[in-house]
Amino acid sequence: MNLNQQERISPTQAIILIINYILGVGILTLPRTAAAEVGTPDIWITIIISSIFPIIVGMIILILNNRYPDKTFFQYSREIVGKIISVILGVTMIIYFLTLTSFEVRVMAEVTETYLLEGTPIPVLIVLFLWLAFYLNTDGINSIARVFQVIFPLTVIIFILIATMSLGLFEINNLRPVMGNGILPVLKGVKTTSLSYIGIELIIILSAYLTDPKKGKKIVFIGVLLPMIFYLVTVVIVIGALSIDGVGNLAWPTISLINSFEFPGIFFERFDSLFLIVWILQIFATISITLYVASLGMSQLFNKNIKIFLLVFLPIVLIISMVPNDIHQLFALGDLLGNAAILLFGVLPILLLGISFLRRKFN
Amino acid sequence: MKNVTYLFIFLLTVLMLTGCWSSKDIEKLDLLLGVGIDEGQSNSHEYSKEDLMNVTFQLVNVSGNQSSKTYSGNAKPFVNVNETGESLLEAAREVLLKRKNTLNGQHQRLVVLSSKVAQKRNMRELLDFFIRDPEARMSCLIMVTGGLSRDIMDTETDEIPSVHIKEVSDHIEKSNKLIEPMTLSKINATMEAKSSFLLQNIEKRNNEIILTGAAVIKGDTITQVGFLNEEELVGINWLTALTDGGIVKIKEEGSNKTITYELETVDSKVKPLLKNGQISFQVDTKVSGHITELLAETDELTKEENIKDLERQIEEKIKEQIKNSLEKIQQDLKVDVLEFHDYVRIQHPDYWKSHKDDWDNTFSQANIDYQVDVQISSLNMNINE
Repeated sequence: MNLNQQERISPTQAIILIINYILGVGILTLPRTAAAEVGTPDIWITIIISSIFPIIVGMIILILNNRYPDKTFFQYSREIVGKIISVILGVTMIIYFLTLTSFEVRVMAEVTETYLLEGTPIPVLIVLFLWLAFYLNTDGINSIARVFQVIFPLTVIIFILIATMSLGLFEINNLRPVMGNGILPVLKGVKTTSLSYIGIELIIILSAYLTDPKKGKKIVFIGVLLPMIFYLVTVVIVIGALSIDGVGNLAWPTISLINSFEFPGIFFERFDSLFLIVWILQIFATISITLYVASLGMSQLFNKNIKIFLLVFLPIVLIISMVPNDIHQLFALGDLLGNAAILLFGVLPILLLGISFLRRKFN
Repeated sequence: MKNVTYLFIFLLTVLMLTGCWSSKDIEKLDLLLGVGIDEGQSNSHEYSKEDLMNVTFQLVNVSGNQSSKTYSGNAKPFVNVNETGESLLEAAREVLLKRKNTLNGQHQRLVVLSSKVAQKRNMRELLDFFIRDPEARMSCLIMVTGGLSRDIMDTETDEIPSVHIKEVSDHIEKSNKLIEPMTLSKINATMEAKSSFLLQNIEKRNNEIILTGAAVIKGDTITQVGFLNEEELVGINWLTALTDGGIVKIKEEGSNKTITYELETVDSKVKPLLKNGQISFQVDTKVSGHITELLAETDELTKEENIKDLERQIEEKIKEQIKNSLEKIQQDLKVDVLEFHDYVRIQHPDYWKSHKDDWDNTFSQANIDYQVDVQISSLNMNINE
């Protein structure tokens, strides 16, 4: 399948796509989930350590991709494992992306309903966002990338602003002692924090669209490193202000932190809404890209127009997103997605790489 | 066909543009500024007597603020609504039956607990409502009063009492008779960690609100176990060095006149020492400041030895304050409100692990050594007199 020049993206755009995809629900919940696993203030070390895994995963996928240049996973898997298995794998992956879309859009709706638009029915919020994502997706990956280029700097500016403002509550003692209980607790949280880098799997389709495919490694590296800095800053300021004991019973610790300070006298006194706006943009970025990948997968597997699938997937995503009854079930769905991601993008590419290697050798 | 599509899109857009979904007009809201919790008097048979509480909701009186024609200018800017119930939510819902507007907690500044309630009930139960409610802000302050919180809320101040109290509590920078304000987010963390803490005490004296002393909350039961008076609080503040403000008054030896020493900086270094499984603390407090009011006759302060002598007298005064406070918290109340556990947790993690469940007892038996070093940095421009 030939891609026209319009659908090509530059390495910078690719990096921004990955960052916007990775940053999502994690920023709001990571301090709590990681604190529950680690139990000591060393979460920040865990976050640094766990950034190795997404980089490894990205690199393996890149090696696999490079054997089949200009093709996405949905196209080349047929050459590796044959038609039937490749369709099964492809559809599994599409189900994963759809569920991820549903999960993210539901979390977004839950937070919006709680903090911004009290009383608005959750399905209404979800439908509105899905329509917007659909509209963005109809023009292909290039226009998605360009919208993300607008979202990203906005996120950085507001994030830095809010991080600086919450420094007033910061107490270094809440982050000490460093590894007081040894390295074991630090390693216990690695799985949880690794999962916050979900999004790197985008590289599985992304390298086919690159104007400069050789820059793949750089994209993976920066694409993981920048979100890591975001997470690091978030965790350090949240734990530094609320302490490791204080985040345990808060559903959205990061919002609670922004809730804890006021700046009287400047234009705004409170910054929760400002932060939520940026964060909603990030979730919007994530759901647009996952919805796009799912539809692209279908259209490439069955050689149909992508717009049909985009439209068909909208009600499906809405239905899946309404399945969890409460916030606990929603977080459980998130855990499930994490495990699925490990299998689909951690283990599977290694297997495929092995098979592909053997095939070439024997042919 | 195309026209039908356009019509459809047009209708959809019209639907979306009707206005904000579930918006609330501000004049239809009762803005909640403060909540006072007292022991409930059971005037009806509906409730069991045990857990009853009387809750005062302080609301903004919008019409009182407007000074419109129908209201005279001296209408109070706030309205207090009293309700009885077994839980806060129950009481809050009772308010709905009295007021035409609905409650909105977005601007809540203060929760005042009467000491009677704080002594009887687990504080987690009392505050859970605010911590869980997404409407309440985590910057809301928690305080205790020895009297009735209802009276505090009723006091005439130049502003609405809740706002007034919150602003007074910001004076921690200038006074060592206050404690660092306890916000919801901080109290949540402290309660989870099961450590003991202080809450600012408010009193009503001669129809005025005054922030004086502190209530001591024990960590494992999260109930109030006692009070610290102003003097004892000052002693605590020498050890924790949370504020750089405040004064020290001493009597000139011999002449018995007052000399006032104003603080510039207070620094304290706490060292937890672990010897043979016994924890002890070494606290070094460094104080510097200047003499602001010299009511005494000694005017030879330019002399080195006189200054040294004054410094010694101030040191003694401070040491005495520390001694009294330590006696109170270590022997009387047996709680660690100095947050010394933080130093142990950080510097002796293993010891902390084995003693954290019984920390208050361990602390009250620990030996605390304190050194005070006072410096008089300047004589406030009066050097030539």
